[in-house]
Amino acid sequence: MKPELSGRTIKIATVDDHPMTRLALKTVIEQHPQWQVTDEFSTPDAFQASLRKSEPDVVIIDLLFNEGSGLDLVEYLKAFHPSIRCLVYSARTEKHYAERCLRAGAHGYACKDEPIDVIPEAIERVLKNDVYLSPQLTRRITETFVRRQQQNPAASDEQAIESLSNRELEVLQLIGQGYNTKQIAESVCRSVKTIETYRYRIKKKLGITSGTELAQYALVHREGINADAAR
Amino acid sequence: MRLDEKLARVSDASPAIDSQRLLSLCAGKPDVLIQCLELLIAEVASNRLQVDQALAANDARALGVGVHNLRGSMSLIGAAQARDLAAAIENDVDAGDVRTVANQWQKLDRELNQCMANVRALLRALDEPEAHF
Repeated sequence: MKPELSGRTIKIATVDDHPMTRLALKTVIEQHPQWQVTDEFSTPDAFQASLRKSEPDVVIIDLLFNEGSGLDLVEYLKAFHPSIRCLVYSARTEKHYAERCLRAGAHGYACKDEPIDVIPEAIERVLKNDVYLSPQLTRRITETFVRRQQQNPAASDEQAIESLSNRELEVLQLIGQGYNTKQIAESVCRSVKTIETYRYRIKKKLGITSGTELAQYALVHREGINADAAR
Repeated sequence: MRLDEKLARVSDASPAIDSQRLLSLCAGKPDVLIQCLELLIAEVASNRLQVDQALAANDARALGVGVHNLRGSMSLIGAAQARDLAAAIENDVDAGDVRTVANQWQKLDRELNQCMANVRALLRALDEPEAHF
């Protein structure tokens, strides 16, 4: 969890046009003693308007609405409220929706197809500045990645990973396992500043511009990274 | 009788919905489950009406949203057959293929009838006087 969030109540908002979903989310989330659903909204516009008064720490967003778009909201938050952690919670289980949401700036994507019990784990992960992706989507995205690599072994992703030094690869591997910078520093016995330098170099080599993209890359390419690290 | 036992008894007779999913939704709290099921009945009725009206008006956007909402509701309660039928219609609508939707909608409509009958049976069971949680 980000240091500024530890020890205080985590404010969570939900944006979903299903009252039943909002009630179930609130019930499940508030099982955690430090988490509170402070606001519920049935449209993206209503949530956007509320941001003038206060920001939640985490927002859980549906994708499709009669009015407005969850994806547009994710893009808006990334641009204007980047400190809010966005978790998309959608009935859409097709991987291209998850990929689009992550590219737009979402920190996680959970499917309504899976038991709602996954939500606390997803919140934990996004609070740690990590990326949450539902297990079924992780599997599908990984399978697609592996298939593409088999069809085109010289694909750019693989080349980019190969260009990393051993230490950079190790750091990327730990990012994919959900470690934050401080935890990586402790794990590899280096200073936080050194790990930040590694993160900067990795981003440069992979053509990545933000920490969120780096975490997403590490998660999506986890199998490829682990395979490379094992060589 | 405990909530999980009551849910298991009703879902044995009503396999269209998943009792474990319902238990998760309410974190084991009967009063929350009753509220969830009442909200579900209202939501499903509203979305079915939206789909009927969208089909009559040939409004693909409203049709897609209505079916998507039904897919979400059915996913949450673990109604796998209804969820899959809704997903198939949603994918066809997304792909611009609405020719087969009316036929598929009839199937989904029948499955929704079954699910909602199960939900109402569950609500009645939760109201039974011998229910002690």
